[in-house]
Amino acid sequence: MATKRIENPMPELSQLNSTSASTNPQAATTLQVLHNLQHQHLWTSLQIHASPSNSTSSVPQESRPPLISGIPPNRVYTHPDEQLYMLEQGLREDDLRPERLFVIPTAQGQDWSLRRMAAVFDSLDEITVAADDEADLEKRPPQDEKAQKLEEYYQRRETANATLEWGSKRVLLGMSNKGMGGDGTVVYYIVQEGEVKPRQN
Amino acid sequence: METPTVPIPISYVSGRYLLFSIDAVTYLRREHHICGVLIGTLPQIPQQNVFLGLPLELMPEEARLLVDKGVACIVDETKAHDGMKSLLEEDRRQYLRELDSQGLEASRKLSDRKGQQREQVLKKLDEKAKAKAIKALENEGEADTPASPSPSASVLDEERPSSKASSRTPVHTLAMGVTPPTSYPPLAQPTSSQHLPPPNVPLSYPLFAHLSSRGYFLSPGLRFGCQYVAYPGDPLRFHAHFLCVSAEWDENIDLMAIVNGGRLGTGVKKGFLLGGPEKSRTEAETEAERVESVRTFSIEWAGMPPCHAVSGSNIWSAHFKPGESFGDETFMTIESSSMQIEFTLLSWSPAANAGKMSMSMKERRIALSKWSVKLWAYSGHSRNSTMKSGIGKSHS
Repeated sequence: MATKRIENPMPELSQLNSTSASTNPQAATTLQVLHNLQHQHLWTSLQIHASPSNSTSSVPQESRPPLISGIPPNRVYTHPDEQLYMLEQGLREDDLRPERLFVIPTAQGQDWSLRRMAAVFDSLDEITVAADDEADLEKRPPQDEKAQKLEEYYQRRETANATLEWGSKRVLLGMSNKGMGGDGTVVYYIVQEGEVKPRQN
Repeated sequence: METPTVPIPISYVSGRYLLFSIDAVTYLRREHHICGVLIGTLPQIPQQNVFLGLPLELMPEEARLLVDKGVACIVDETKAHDGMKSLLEEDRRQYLRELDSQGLEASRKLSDRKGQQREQVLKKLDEKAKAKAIKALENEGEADTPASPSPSASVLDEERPSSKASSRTPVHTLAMGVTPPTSYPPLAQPTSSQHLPPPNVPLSYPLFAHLSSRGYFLSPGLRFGCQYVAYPGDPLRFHAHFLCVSAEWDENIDLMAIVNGGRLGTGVKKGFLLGGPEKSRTEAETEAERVESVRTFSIEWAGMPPCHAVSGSNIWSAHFKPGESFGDETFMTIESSSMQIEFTLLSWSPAANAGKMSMSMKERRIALSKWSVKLWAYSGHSRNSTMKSGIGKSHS
């Protein structure tokens, strides 16, 4: 797995405090969540995506939060049926190529509604991810049998994605602690559209 | 398993939707995934609340769904029973006679079953005795080879008729009392003009109907602090998948409610399902239209553990930025890749203040997830002197 830590493209917190924070509280929340992902969870190739302006969504542009995307060091979510398939194929989560995951940065006490949640999911397709080092990540030495199994897995996943067998579009909802002294805790919840059965039941 | 005639009358009694027919209850559970809640208890043991029986109480949502599907209708029970008074005497007599014959039938079946059981028990005893006799015979045979099996067989044959005679017990024919749970045989099924309008439902009805149409069994969610608990199959066979909460499209959702639901759901191995109709009641003409526009989101705790509880190297590689000075105190900032700490350096001369160091230090605690890191630093009087620092880790 590529462990190369990218150069921090984001402003440091200290700069944030003096510049952007005063103009937009959402930017502060976004950066706080981004820093948490980068330093506490060691996510890589993090990016901030402003919500698409050409969106037909009914939510006004300014109240749509930007999205963060990045590559987690370990897989965050595996659908139970996918896990079963991987187990049958003898694949481990570490074998899979790392995947980019989207995060909605929010802060405790922020207004939230189903409309906003839906707007985020609708905008996912419109976001284009700058292809940076993801190309390198795919260039991994093929290991004969395992590579073939992986290939099968990816094909299986494509069909599963089409039929929503292995869950649907998913994002992480990152929620930072504000007020009460704000101890810097950020909690993460996986949100998927539709009824997706729980991982353990 | 009898299929009741559709539409099934749902009794509306003082604001509750009740079903009194066991055929209707099993049919709705089997075919329409409507479970309801059994609320009947025994008059003798009114306190017991574990094994409840008829009647079955339906949520207004369940009743509404059935009415909308055309499977059931709502009947005002008090009005429906006005018909009892106008029942003809002849009809009344015939109905009572029918009940009597049903009672007789029931008692006949019961005694039949008793007789069968008795016969079976006797048969078993018979076989045991036979096996014993044969065994005894074989034992004898070892000692005396040309033993004839006929005498023992005849003994068994002799026993036979007596056992047969004993199984013929006189059938006790006393009619059992029958209490029918519904009053629709004597009364005519209510006509469609007598039906009440479909039940009023809470705003969460579209989510209920949406999940029901996906084949989920829904039960009231009080137990799990939600609106509905969704089971992927019959609740007797499956664990629930979701704790469901409905919201209107523009209803403000406290993010803390998502944390609460997500954490509780994960704690009981379920997902937290948040959903609602895109159309409000003013925008949609019918509830069916709202049901069509439902979107749902499944939420689970991500459970991402911190990748590392702040490793020492991150702090050692921090760089120090001098801050402003106020007299003796210098405010400094440490910036490392994992945190930013502002702390105060006090001018401190090791020689003059030996042993007093701990008094003059300011500590800043930074909580990082489950770990809290205590960082303290002190320096000598001169900024050029070596800086010592220590890191303490404590589990909180």
